[in-house]
Amino acid sequence: MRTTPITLCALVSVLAACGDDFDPKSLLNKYRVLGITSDVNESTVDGRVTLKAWDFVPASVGQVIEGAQPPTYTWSFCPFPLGAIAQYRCFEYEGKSLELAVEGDTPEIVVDFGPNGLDLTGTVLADLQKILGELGAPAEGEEVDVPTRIPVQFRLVAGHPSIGQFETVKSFVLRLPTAPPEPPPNNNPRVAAFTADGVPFCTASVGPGAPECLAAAPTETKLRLAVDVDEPARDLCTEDDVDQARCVSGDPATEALVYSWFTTAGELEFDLTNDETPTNTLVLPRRLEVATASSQRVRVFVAVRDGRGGLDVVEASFDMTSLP
Amino acid sequence: MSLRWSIGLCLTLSLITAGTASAQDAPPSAPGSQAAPPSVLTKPPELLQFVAAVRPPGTDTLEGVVVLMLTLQADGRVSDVVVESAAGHGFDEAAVAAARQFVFSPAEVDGQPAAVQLAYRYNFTVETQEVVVDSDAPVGAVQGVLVERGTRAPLVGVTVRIETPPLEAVTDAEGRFEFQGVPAGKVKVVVDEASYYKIEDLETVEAGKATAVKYYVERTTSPLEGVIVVGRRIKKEVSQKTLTLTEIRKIPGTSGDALKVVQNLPGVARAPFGAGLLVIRGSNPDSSGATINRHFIPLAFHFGGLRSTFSSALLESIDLYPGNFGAEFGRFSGGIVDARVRRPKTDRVHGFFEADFFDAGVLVEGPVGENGAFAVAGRRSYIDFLLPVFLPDDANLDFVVAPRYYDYQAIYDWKKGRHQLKLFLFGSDDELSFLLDQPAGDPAVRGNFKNKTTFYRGYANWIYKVTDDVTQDLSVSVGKNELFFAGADRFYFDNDIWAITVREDIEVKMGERLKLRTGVDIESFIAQINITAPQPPKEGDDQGAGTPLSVDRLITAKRQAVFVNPGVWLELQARVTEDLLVVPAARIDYDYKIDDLTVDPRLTARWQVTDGTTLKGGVGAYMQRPGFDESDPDFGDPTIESERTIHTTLGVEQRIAEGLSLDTSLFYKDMYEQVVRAPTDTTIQGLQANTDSQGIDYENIGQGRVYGLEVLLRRELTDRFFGWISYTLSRSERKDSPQEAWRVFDFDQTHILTALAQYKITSAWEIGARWRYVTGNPETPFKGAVYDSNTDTYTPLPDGGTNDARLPAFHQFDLRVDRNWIFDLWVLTAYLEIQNAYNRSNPEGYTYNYDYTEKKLLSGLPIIPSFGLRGEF
Repeated sequence: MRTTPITLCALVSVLAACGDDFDPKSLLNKYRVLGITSDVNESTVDGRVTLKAWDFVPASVGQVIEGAQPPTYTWSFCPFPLGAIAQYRCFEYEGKSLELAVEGDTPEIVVDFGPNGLDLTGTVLADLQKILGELGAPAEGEEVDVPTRIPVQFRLVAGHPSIGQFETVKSFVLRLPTAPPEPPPNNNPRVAAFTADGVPFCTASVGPGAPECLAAAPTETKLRLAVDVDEPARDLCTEDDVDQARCVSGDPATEALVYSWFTTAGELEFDLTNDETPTNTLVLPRRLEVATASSQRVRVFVAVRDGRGGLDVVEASFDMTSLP
Repeated sequence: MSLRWSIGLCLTLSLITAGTASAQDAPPSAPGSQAAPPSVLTKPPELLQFVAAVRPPGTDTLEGVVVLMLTLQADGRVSDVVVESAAGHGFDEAAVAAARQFVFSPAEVDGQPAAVQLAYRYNFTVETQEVVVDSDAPVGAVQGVLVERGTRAPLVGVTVRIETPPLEAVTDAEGRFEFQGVPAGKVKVVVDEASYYKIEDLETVEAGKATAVKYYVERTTSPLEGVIVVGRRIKKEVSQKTLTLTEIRKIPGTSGDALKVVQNLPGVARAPFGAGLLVIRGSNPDSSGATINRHFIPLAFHFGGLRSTFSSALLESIDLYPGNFGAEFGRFSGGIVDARVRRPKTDRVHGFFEADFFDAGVLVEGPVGENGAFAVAGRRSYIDFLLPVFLPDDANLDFVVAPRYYDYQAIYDWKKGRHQLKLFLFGSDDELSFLLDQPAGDPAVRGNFKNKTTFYRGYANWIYKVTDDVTQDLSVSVGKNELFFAGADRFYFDNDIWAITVREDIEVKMGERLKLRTGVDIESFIAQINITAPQPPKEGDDQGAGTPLSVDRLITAKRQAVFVNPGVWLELQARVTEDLLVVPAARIDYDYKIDDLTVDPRLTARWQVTDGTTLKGGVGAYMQRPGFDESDPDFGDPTIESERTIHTTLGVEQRIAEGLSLDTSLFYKDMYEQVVRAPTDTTIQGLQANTDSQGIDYENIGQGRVYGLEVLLRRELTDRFFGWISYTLSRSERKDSPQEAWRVFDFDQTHILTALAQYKITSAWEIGARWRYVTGNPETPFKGAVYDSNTDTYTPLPDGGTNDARLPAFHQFDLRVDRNWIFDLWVLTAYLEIQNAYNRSNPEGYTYNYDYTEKKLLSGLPIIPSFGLRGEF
């Protein structure tokens, strides 16, 4: 009879969230990693992957202030992660963590699993068999049930003297030599367009002089933000996706996407929106942070996730001007 | 000059006494009722044979009133007469001598003939004027009936007077009286009886005719309090606390709900937000059970503990067994709350309608034929109508079905000779459904949420007193539990479970000092299981509510299962000496699902050291079956075994004064073979996340210990006042493996103090108050979080060990005022209950920001005035 507490907890947490006055998750007012993208989301034990941390560094603590230190980036890799239930710790074997350091101290790194990098070939499978054998304690003569694709984990600890540490993990699938040769596709979703009130944001390629892009908006403006995803990049559902309810119904069923929205100023209607709602509303504040300034740069981000590692992040910005 | 008698049956039929607390031997009743001392007077005694007192010589011109306390045996004979209020002049002795010859009809308690005490007023009056009736004058008659205002109960043995000419009549068993030869014209009829407001009324008498009158006489105290008879049957338990319905109906802060009142007794922790969790003597809520007539029900409370699922108005008493309970109860190692259903009223049709802030209910009861009685009751909430009104327009939440509950009960009770049959049909339904338009914090917390919990039961009970010494009690309960919840368009739980429980209890009296009780207790379930859900959280989980749904793997279990769990028990009540009762007992249970047989020996003893002092103690073994998920082949491990606990209690009961008692107990619970996640479990889950292996490994390696002191100072119900002070000092700790250090239990509360009192100011006004102080619950503080890039969720990082910190203390004052309006045929009661009267911002937990770097106290409910109405006839 645990049903009532679970549902009521959901209700209570929602109602409680309605009433709290914390800064919303969508408001970027301190250092934050918004996500880590990878060029591939599954690799063989001799493959390689490029990781990129999408982080937000506020002007007051970041690179734009002359003389200020940029964040530091420390990467590591865990072949046997313990998951959220154990706060994403790495398995300890004979009293020692199996987490491996990864070279690179920038937001973007390349990880080589092969002999020239982490050198996982051969060792991971042996370690896995040994560990599972000990933990699972199979009966004599019984084969250890060794998976062919295992979840591994990258960890990024971003630090800055002004903010302490921000710890991010990214799960990744490592395909063992025993795995079937045809891997199921797991592409990153891709944002094709990011618009405000139906027009794109002005960028270098879409000049501010062009009438069909947003370069500036006055305070108190309400902007309708929207993203279009590239539908061909959306994966079909795997069996595991179906089991884990990560699909959008259809024939064939495709993975369900979730949109995370961020802004450096103003208030977004939602922090998160579901697959059916790739839109959001941004209400700009009543005044600029610096009263004497004539404008303020506003940055907005959208991260699109498929819930199993696939991620795309887009950023746009415009000038918020004071009302005449 | 002649003697006139008037009789007063006063309000306080108070106490069954067939001896002292150690030597009581009440009339046999259902075997299972042995452990239920409080009883209700179901049929008052009626005076069948009146004997006039002989006036002492020389008192012909004197008047006087003697108030007597009569002790009536179960057959209605007067066994003892005590002068409560003397009149002197030899009247007292004369009244006692006369009263000893009275014969009453047997009073019935719980439907059984029983000994009672009643106050009796004996009036010695002087007639100052002979009645002279002119035989030639036109005369008529006055015929009437006296009934109590509000309840319509006939008033028996009450003197009715006509002033001129002076005439008197005494009402019969139906409240009727008659005057013959009353002169035609206006006459004044007077009813002046103790405990009732005086009536003076002018009636017109016509010659040769009978004038019919009916008087509704109002009590000077409330007529709806009923009469509580506390039956001191053999008390064999060492921790039992009993509440009677009248005591609990008006306790502030409980809205008159009987089961909620249990949370004010020693040993019971305060549940967060006032939810209906039963945390008894530091045990997990799942380790304690609630029963209706000893058959366990799946759900004791509706949503959030607002109301219990069985109407309190149909309950006779509630017994709380915080520990060392008898062998008739098994399968739980925490505590037992046993609610007993009363026999419906048999004198005439009664009923009520009541409504308050949350719900409205109705009850009708009355006799059926000569031997039967019925009751039907129902209740429905209207939160679903009110909540949307208070919800902000911009809330990211649409209620499909706002919280709604209802429950219903139907009872038929038949009794004749040595047989009694009870048939119940009752059930409960809770539903809540809402739609989260967009994800709330966690991408998985979105979409439709629905919770529907339904159960219903048909219950039949046949009690047969085979001989004067042998009683059998067969009861069968058949019903269904329908549990459904779905959340986030992602997980669901859809279980239909037919539950059949059978109990056969036999009691054999073997001489004056020995009683054997034994029984069979079988429960069986036919379950249709269909679940896709994450692993449920467990006591002591560091993450608490912080574990994101998005990162939880869903597990699927789908099958049909049949479980039959038989249990047998045996108990011997041996009165070793007049003052020493020793009760050895044993219970054997078999759990089919995990193929586990347990044998639980138990022993309790009570020693009456002096007339007012009783020492008590007990030690016993108790099994607790694992949680559903823990022993499930998909979610857990079916090879685990039952958890084991040893209860030990040592205490003393001290009667300080009449109606005032102190009950003190020391207790220790040794919990071993507790089911915990295997230490390697997190690794297994992490490593095998993409394999077919879904279950979590559990092992019986957990330990627990709970120890403490419980004190209950209790003033029993009198005409105007009752109340108690309960205090619990305790410590509840757990070890998740033998190598780990002790940590405190999730609901460990060091101090629990409750003081409550209720005072009847007048017959119309009543006031009650309750104050509670409770140590804050343990809390695992967080120091930030790890961000999961794949799911956009933050998993909190504990700052220190599990439950290393505590919430601030809770304290709250509740107030309740009742007002009665008594009409001829019914009574209206209105009440105002103010919960949290001084508006204390009580901490119930912490709420964190998205990345767990900031936190704020989550407060409980602010001051809440609640208004209720009840119309009763």
